[in-house]
Amino acid sequence: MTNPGATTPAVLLRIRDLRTYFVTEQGATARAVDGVSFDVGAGETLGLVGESGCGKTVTSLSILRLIPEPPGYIRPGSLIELDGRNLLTLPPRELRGIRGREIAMIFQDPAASLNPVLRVGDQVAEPALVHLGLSRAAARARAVEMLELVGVPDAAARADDYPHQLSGGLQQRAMIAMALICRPRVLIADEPTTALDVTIQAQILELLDRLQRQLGMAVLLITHDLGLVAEHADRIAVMYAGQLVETAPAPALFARPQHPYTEGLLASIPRLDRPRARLHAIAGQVPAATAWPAGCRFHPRCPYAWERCAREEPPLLDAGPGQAARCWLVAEPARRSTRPPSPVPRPLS
Amino acid sequence: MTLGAWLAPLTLVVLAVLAATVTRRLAERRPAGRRFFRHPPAEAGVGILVFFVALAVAAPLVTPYHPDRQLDIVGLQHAAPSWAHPLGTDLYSRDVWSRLAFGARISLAIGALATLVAVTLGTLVGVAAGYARRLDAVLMRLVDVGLAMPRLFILLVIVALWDQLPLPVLILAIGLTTWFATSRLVRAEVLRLRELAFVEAARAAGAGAVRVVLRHVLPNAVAPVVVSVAVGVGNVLLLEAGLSFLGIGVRPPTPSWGNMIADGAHHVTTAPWATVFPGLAIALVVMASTALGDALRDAFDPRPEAP
Repeated sequence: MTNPGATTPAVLLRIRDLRTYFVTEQGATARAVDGVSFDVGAGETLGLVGESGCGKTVTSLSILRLIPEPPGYIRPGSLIELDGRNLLTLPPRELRGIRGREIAMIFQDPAASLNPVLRVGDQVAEPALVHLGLSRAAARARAVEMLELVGVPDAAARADDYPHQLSGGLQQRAMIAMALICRPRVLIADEPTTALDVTIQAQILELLDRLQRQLGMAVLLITHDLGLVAEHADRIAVMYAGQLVETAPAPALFARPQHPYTEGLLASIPRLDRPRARLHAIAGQVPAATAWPAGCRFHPRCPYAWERCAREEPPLLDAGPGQAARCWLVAEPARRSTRPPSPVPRPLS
Repeated sequence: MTLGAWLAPLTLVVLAVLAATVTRRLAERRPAGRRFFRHPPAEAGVGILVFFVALAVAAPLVTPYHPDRQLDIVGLQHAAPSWAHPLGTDLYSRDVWSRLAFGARISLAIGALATLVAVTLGTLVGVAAGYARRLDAVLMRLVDVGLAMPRLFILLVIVALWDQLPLPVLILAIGLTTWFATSRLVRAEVLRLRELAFVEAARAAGAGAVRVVLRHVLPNAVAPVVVSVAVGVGNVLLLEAGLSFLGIGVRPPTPSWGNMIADGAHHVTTAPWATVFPGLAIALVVMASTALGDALRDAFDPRPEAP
């Protein structure tokens, strides 16, 4: 159940049994995040991967307590600890001291995440004004420094621009500058490149890698793109239907995926180094968060599923060094060979 | 004397045109100013407002007569516009131009101050209701009640409490009964804005509610506020005219554009100048403020084009 990977450095962010539920207008309860546990160590990058609607973003928003309450709430019994401080019991004022100071966040769409009527420099400077007690001028100077650090050319001039005057790549660089201006210890990057061109994506991710090394922060990289975490994450946690279904060090996950869902995701990556074939897709859709299937939540879509899967919900089972999967196949490996999924997934290497 | 009476309004016209041109020249050095003057009526609007505000400020200097003075109750009753009386005289032989100038003081002051009260209150309530969900239901029911009650009726009740209505009370009464629509507009905008990514990003950066509202929500909600001011000034001018027409607004003989129209209404066929000119003044100011509202909304919005 706990975090795999005994080799991880000192744990900085500890999530245990996080459950974030929403009450829908019909009165049903959507269990968007339903018992997620993981650790992020100092200086480490954890990739959190999954389809749309699996609870990745709700997880990240829960960490900063940015879930709209109501209709959302974090169930008692959940634990979010930064350096031993439980964020779920912090009074609002201290919580604001964490946001942007200790844990910063960058979002999917940089164009929408920047206030259109504030100059870029003022926006990048804002966390420094809020947290570091700098004067307006000092914060502004620091913002320009940060813009230079994230590779914005002619930073002093760009700081006077409005967001719409910057390209998408520069906007995301500005967001990163804003997130890092207070030198946070944890950076949550929620789909940081989804809204960007492919060429810009690579630049932004390399920038994040470089800054992580320079500043020694932990990164929680949230994405639906397994190829992206392969290169940039130390460990990977795969989410499905509000739960973690597999965690493993990045190389192990690609070499020996244990959960059929992970297999499916890997098989869904288009490959240029193989003969052209129909692209694999995982059959079916993510079920609704108001009615997760009984037993294993993946069993209706799983090519291996047998009756135990519909009956009993598997725990995260240990599947090798630092690896764990929420699948009965780990306990009954013989079943894997009986009925392989149609396009046999092979490990990337 | 007569020459002076004609020179004064001409001076004001020249001043207004000059002010509009200079404002445009200076404003167009900055992007916001260019966006403002991209609206063709904006320059005219600036000119018209400058003209009437200057008229109000300089009323004693530009008018040949005291506004309440009955010059010759027999000989000058309803005199048509002439060299001596550019806009004619009214039923009591008072100079319409002089009354128009002094009426501008009263009418514009009521319009500006009552709108200030209404928009301030409406914005506060709108932001509170839109951002603090707990207050929303209570405040919006209050607004529903306010909108459901005929405004003129409420004003009649308030006015009836005073024997001789002091001007500040009239301003407050109008202001306190005209903020409802503004609060609705602002609330709707805040509800939209609070869901946007940059508000979430600001909260994620550690900004508190006050900071989020003042720096991220309100500056993006300028549009409904500015529109409210523009529409509000026009509304208040019309409301004041309506109240004065019923004889419960600004007390005669103090001139306001509203009670000038009321005074002249019965003789509109024989002496149209007594009503047409204050009516024209109201219409011009209403149109100018609407034009400025449109232009300001664009000026505040640095985005290239709203989708």
